Amino acid sequence: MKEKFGKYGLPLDVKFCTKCTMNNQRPSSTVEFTQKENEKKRTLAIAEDGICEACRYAEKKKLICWEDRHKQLEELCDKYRRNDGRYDVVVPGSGGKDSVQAAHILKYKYNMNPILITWPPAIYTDIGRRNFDAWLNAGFANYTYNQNKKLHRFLTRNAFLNLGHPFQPFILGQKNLAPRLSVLLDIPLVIFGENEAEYGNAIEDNEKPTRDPKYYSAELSIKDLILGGVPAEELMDKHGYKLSDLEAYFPVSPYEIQKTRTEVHYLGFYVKWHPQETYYYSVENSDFMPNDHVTEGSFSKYSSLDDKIDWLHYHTTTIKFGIGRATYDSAQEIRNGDITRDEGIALIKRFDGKFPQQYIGDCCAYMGISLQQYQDAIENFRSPHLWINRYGRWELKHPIWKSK
Amino acid sequence: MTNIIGLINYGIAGNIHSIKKAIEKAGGNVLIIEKPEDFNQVDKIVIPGVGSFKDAMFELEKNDLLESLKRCVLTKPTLGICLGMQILSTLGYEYGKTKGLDVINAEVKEIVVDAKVPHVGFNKIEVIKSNKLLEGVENKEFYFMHSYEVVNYTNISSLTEYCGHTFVSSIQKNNIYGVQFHPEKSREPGVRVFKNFIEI
Amino acid sequence: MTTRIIVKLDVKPPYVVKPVHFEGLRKIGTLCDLVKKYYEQGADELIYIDIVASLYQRDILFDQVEAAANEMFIPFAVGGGVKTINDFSKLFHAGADKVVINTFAVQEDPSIINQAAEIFGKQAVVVNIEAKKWDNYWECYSDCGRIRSGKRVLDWVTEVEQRGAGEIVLQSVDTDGRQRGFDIDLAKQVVEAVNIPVVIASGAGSLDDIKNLILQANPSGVAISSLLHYDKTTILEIKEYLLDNGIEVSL
Repeated sequence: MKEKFGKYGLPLDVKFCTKCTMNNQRPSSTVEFTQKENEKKRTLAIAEDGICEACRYAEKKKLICWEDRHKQLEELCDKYRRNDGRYDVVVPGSGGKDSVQAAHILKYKYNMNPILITWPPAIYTDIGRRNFDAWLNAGFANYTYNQNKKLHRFLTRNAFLNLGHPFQPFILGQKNLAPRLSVLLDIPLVIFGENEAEYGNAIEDNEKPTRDPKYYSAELSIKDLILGGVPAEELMDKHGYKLSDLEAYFPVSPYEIQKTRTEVHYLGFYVKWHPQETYYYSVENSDFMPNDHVTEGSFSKYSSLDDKIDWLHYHTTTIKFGIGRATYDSAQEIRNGDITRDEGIALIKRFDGKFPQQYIGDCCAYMGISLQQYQDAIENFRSPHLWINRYGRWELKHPIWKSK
Repeated sequence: MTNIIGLINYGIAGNIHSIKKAIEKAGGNVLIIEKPEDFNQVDKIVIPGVGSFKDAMFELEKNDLLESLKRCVLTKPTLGICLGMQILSTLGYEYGKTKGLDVINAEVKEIVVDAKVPHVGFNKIEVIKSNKLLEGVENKEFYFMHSYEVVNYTNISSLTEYCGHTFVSSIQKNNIYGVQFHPEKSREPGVRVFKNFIEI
Repeated sequence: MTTRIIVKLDVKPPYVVKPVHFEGLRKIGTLCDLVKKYYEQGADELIYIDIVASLYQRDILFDQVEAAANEMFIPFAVGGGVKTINDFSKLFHAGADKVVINTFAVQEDPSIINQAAEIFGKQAVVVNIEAKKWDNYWECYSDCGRIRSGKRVLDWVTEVEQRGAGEIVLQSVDTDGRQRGFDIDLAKQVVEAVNIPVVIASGAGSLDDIKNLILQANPSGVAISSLLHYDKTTILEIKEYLLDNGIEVSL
């Protein structure tokens, strides 16, 4: 019987959505704290008519009555709004356009009193730091949990070498910190920016305003937790890290959450999320700035600017799934009507998958590996059914610009 | 009675589209002149601008329009715009010395002024010898964009001042008119100039 | 000499859009509607830049230019994706009176400026500059404010003047679309560095901004976008304000 799946459980047959530029190699969000090596991934579904779930959802979104959704957000805010001057909503972020808009809207349109919380990037870019300051300059206070850097670097390095996923430590904290602080600060309401379901995960995830607790809370014992491909127990017993520091990466206990009655919502359910419009909102209502030049690997200047590791992240997605930042960005912009599919293809051809030259040095130094080690390690993650080596250069077997 | 305006197509240079639109707005009918025979079908001629003296003369010769143009300019009412006016002269100095159509006794030299060159923008014309072409638009502002000027002191119909330097902004010799400015780019007064030309 | 009040149209055909810092494609209106709006408002000149032609590496859409150039009898400067003499020529035949060039000249072959000036005359060859500040100098960018060229603005303006460009349109990636004022320091330095006309764009947020720019930097023209697109003022209002403040404009 013919093998239908390749590395990571990706379908061998590469199919492109006929509406956007995404393809069926794109994995959905993973439950990160149990992720093991070589795990099979759930990937983007493309229906018989050639349209992917994310585009399908985008069409559905056009039918949503946003007035109703605004009312629902108003009711939610009415329920949690405090009139004694104390914080009444936790807004996580790092000063990117999404968290800038979320904080501003909640404060100035819905009269809430947000406290901003940040799980900071592994390595701040200049523009990231400037935008973080601008975020606070707009009139907000902020709790930042600065990770034990020795541990964070160790986890990042392991995550890269074992899973080809250097971004994992960031994702772990980003999802867990807000509910954790909600419990600590006794502020039940947490509101994130858009839901990652926007980008093509299970459509069901988008039907609800709240983030699925499975992403940030679990009644798991330490035995079940794996960080960077290394079991938590090993991190403690063999490498000497303490539970206190590791806890930041663990999911919050559901019992704790129940005590505070924490609810994690995402703004994308209540407010029509259009990344470019979010960018405009940010520059019109704060000192937010786009990148100082085009973001390597893509064509835009306004997204995911603050963590140097992010650049590596998109390099790994390119190697593993054949999908780089320009593909992600263009698919989204097509769905939002900013560009056409043909324009997206031209941009992918020109920019997608570029080697992260700008920050590779800083990132390798951070992880304590050499550039050569990086180059060697990344090859372990290359999906053979997607790449071919021609005259010493790796090329995609099925790039979108060659598809019918 | 027909009144077809022939608009010379140099080949590569010339802002043909703009002029055609303006003439049509003024109520005229335009025929683009691309070969010698086209001259027979028109009653008046417009020589466009946007080009260099050297290139314009080169293209006219290359496209076999030069001789016919020289003849028709003497028999049919002609309007030269900007470069189109400049090439009516004897000699031009833009990118080297080039012979012009030699219809007016003048030379075309680089503007010398203590200000930005090219001279670009709206500026007033001062009519010193009124004629049909400039009827109704005396003292109006027109759009100039040029680095060279016609040096001629006999057939002047208007002058313009630019930062202390006065130069010829339009000329007339019998039925040959020349304007240094761009009537197709000068709003209503410009359209009026074309109207006047159509009615000559 | 009057200072020209110019409207800059950032075009993603068939729409006029308005990026901020050369990012974002928010639609303002259709090209034809806006050309008509600004011609009737009394603009002295319109600049049309196809802001994505170079970025997307696509051909110039000449039919869009022609459609826009129909009912307006003021100068039409057109650019975006210009690479060859044939592009220049086709644009002039499609309704352009000046052709604007940036990406190809600054990143690939500046000699196109020499060639174009010799054929079309200096005044019809306009160089557009996307300037971004770094420490104590400004660098030229291309592809809609995205790609660094490694060339410094003050070196480049001198070079293009020598090559025969007749005019410069100076934009600032730092201030464009933000409506917080112009980069007056940049404007002054460029205007003083060359003897060809310089049009300053990027940053008008108020009538005072425009007035101050003209009084301090003395440009040949000012190009305005956001302030007019969002109907915060009209061209007449701008001109009257400037006249009241002793600045010559064409009414």
